[in-house]
Amino acid sequence: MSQLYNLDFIIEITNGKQEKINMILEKFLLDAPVSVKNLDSSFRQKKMDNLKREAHSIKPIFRSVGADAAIRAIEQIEQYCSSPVFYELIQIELDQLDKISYAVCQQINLKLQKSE
Amino acid sequence: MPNKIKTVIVDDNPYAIELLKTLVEENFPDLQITATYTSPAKATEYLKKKPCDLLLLDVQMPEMNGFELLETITPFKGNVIFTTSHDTFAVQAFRYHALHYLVKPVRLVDMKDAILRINEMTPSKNGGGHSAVHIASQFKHVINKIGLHAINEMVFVEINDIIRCHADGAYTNIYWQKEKILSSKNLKYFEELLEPRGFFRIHDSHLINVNHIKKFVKGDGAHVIMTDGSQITISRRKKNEFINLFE
Repeated sequence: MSQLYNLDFIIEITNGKQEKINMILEKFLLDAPVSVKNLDSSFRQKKMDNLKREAHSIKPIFRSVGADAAIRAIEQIEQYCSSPVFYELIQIELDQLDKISYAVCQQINLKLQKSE
Repeated sequence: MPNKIKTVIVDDNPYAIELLKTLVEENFPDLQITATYTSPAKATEYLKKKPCDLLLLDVQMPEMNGFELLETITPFKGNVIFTTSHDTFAVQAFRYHALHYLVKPVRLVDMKDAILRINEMTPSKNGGGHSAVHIASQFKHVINKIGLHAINEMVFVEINDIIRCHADGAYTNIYWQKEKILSSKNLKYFEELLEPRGFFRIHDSHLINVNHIKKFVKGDGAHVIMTDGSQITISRRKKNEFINLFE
């Protein structure tokens, strides 16, 4: 599988300090799965306004690690939230986001292990 | 540490705080993070007791949004940089005299620009305070929408779509495309907000979007016809100023 993340942003804000990069990535690993789970929860409760707002709010989390595939899925979810017609498509995109997020976290976790 | 800019970060997302804190600590030695809060209510308590020079404030938070937080600590003498993933809040941000409005995750280049503004706009240089109009000019590249306060909701409308605003006592009717909303704000509020964006107060009771004028009818009862077909009289006092807009 190709690399699903890009650390340019984090390297820039940390001035390339490995210790700081690792600290931020560890926090990302804690935050990203919870954020995706919250989206899923809003969807199951059919709180579409919440879902749209939360989807928009979590974009910066994935943007910070350059996870473009995750951002594309989130943007699709945002777009589909505008109409109940797209309910099934939201489910598909949420599943897709879940998979991407999991893969991004796995890859980042691996990178952290290598750098230790 | 004398002369450091005391900075407080408020964001409901701990990861967002971590990113911002790292950005500041690693790149801005003149700034000192004195506190960070995920809870706007706790931040409010702190800020009432210990004012800071710079507030990095998230807009959309549960319990209380960034604008509400700012109101609870008014008068706040420091500078405010709003951080958010929603660019539709830009108009509101400058109503609250925000120094800058940064989209998350905040990039180094954008933060540098914002901090530069703090240095350029210190009270000794600009006489203190930032007028809404002055701040508006800084936000031209991001302002696309306006949040209209109705009774139970806030409706976001593209500024370019607004055709006219008509005073109704202390309220204002806003007309765009084929829709209309009664806002709880008065016409003066919209005049200050929209004049830098191509609106003109044509009459005591009317503010119009110049881009939506279809026809100007000269003569004693001079008036304009707008793209929605409405006919609006130009007050005598404003007639010359209006004509000068197009000459």
